[in-house]
Amino acid sequence: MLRVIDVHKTYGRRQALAGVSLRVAAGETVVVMGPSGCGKSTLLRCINRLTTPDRGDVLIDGRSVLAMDEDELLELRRKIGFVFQHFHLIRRLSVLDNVALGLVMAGTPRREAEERALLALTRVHLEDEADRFPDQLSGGQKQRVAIARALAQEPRLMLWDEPTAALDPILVGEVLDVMEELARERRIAMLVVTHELRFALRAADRLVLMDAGRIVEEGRPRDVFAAPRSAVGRRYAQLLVH
Amino acid sequence: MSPFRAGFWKDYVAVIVATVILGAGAAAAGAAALDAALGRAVTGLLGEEGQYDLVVHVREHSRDAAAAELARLLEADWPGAAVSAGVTVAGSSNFFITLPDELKTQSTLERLAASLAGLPGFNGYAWMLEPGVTVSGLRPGVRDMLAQEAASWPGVRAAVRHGGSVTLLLDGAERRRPVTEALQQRLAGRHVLEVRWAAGAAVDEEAALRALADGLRPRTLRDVTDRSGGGEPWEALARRLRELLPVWRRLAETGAAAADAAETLMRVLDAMEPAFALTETPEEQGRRLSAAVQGEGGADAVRQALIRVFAANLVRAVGGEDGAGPAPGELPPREQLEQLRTALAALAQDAAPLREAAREDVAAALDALEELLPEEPAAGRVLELWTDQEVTPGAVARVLREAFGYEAAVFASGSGFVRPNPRGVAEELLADVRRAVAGLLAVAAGLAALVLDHATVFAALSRFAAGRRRRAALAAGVGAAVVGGTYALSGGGLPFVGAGAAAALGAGLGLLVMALAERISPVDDDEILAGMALGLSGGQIMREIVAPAGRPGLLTLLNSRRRRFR
Repeated sequence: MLRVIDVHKTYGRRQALAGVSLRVAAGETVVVMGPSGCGKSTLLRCINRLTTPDRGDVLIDGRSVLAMDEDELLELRRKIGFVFQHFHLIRRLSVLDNVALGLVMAGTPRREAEERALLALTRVHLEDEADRFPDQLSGGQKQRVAIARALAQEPRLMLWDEPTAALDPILVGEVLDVMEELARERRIAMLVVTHELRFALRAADRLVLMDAGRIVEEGRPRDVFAAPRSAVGRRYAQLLVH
Repeated sequence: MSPFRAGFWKDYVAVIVATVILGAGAAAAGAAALDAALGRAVTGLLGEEGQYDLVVHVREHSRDAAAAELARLLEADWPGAAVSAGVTVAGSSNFFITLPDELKTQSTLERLAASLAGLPGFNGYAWMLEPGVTVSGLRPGVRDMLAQEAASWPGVRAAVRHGGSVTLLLDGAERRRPVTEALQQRLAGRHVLEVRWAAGAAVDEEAALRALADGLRPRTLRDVTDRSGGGEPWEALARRLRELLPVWRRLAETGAAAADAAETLMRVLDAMEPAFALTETPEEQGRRLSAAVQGEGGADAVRQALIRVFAANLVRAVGGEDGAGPAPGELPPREQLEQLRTALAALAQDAAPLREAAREDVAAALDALEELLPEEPAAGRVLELWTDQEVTPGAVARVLREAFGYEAAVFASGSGFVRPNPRGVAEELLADVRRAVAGLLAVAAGLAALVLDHATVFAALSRFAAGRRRRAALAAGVGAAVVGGTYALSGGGLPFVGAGAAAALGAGLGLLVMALAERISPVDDDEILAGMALGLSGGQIMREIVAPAGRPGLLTLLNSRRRRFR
């Protein structure tokens, strides 16, 4: 489904990605972990070309993302859900409109788009909040709206950029519950950047550890935490013990 | 990714066009409103255009008498003319005269002006003929020539001469500019040369003109000598002064003689005092003497009058007409004598300075004045030429000397200048003010549009990976189009700022707004990123996310029509 091939990205003098290669199969959940600034978010943004890599390639269903023209790229993005750390909801739009926005802009009739949006909201248990506005929601609710917005487009791949990092610990659970549910369904391939060890253990098929723009270790989460081979792996393993 | 896809560029162009049209309209309307307000002020001062044709100034103390005489004059000789009293300023009262159309001919208007000179306290007049153009600073010959020529020009209804000026009354205000240009063209590049021949020179003026034409080959050479005897106002004044000089000398001498006579009479009175007991009544004697003193006979007349009085009284004193004293009821002779003496003393005192001054200062002053007054040129001693400015006084003198041996002094004076009438000046000033205000409002409207509408777009551009140069080019272009277009369309006209300069100013303002765009109209990066991640095109992001969150302006207004999520 997704292949990342030797991707490099540099911001000024800082090398964010230094030759990252990765595969994600259809329906697979892959968790990416690593210290802050190791390039995890950059990797996600290179996949749907919100950031353009300096070198390497990204293939989705065998097609190079970098070779796509603008229309193809827009079509691709509509099929890749992206959940941001800080939700990125449109504040002037209602919850329902936020979720329906991508559909309507892609040409879906308004009524149909709203029906699909409402279904997506139901999946994250927010159907009763459809007419409210983002500023009237809690952090956890906002993130669930963002998840519903991604789900409404019926993506085959979802990219999660630390979806719980900005949440109050009490609210993290409601988001993780939704994520785990999606992972269990195995209908959508998910690449999740997170620091949630328990989520990785419970929901991830594979764990990828990154450090300084490179993948330093990967494998089944239990294996990695049980016998870490990298410094980053060892730190996470220690955290899990504690 | 371009923010101008999905038809957003059309929206953006529509915003620019609408900004230019609405901004120009607003600027022009604002300027027109100010123009109307100032125009009312001008009308309040000068009346409606064509409301008055002539303003007559009289001295304040003669206001009532002048008003009555003016009313009588107009009613008798200029039927249909109306007069209204104006304000009195600095001792000068004004009367505004409105003339019926049939009186507005050159000869009628000039005769009317001439007839005003007899008004009590007359202190001048000024034509307010509108629409009109006045050309001033003309030599009499040039004035007459110009009046004659201009009278036949299209759109000129009458050419009215007054002093060194000609006022052209026009058929309509639209004729003001072409007639003014025609006048300026007629006067441009020409001047008047005044040739004064040496005293006693026998001059053949026609031969001199031919020699000048052949020798200098000017495009224009015309004899404009004023042979009517009128001449310039200062020349008329000099002529009048020369006429008055002998009168003043005689007056001064008479005053001195009167003082002498008064003193002599007082001495005689002292000597003859006893004889006055039988004289005729003092009133009669006083009147007799006073008449002599005030008459034109001078000292001799006064002396003769005295002798007559004394002789008569002497006879009475010796024999008497009836041998009796003063009639009963008359004042006592002694008191009458004292009254006469008092009157004579006052007369002597009043005339004494005159007597002293007349003999020294007044005489010297009159002598000096006589010397200073220019000698009146004899007929044929001055020749005035209307010619090209390239024809210099020196060249004329040289040609005349070489051709005929004539020695002549040649002086140059200007050809005259077009002087717009007060309303024309006021209207031009108002037009300048209107243009300047329109220009300022246009720039302000353009700047407002840049701040309210375009700052949002400029700020969003950087999120679409547009390079700094491209953003700067767009900002400068949009600023130039908005400010320059609004300025040009509004009819704005700031001094030294044409449409090109306004466009350059707009480009600068566009760059400034771009530099400050993040502060003026910050955009939400997270929302734009969300839109990108959802697969929205640049245009859709601009229309659905950026523009609605911008400052309220034309962009948000026009964009709302095509937005899917309201």
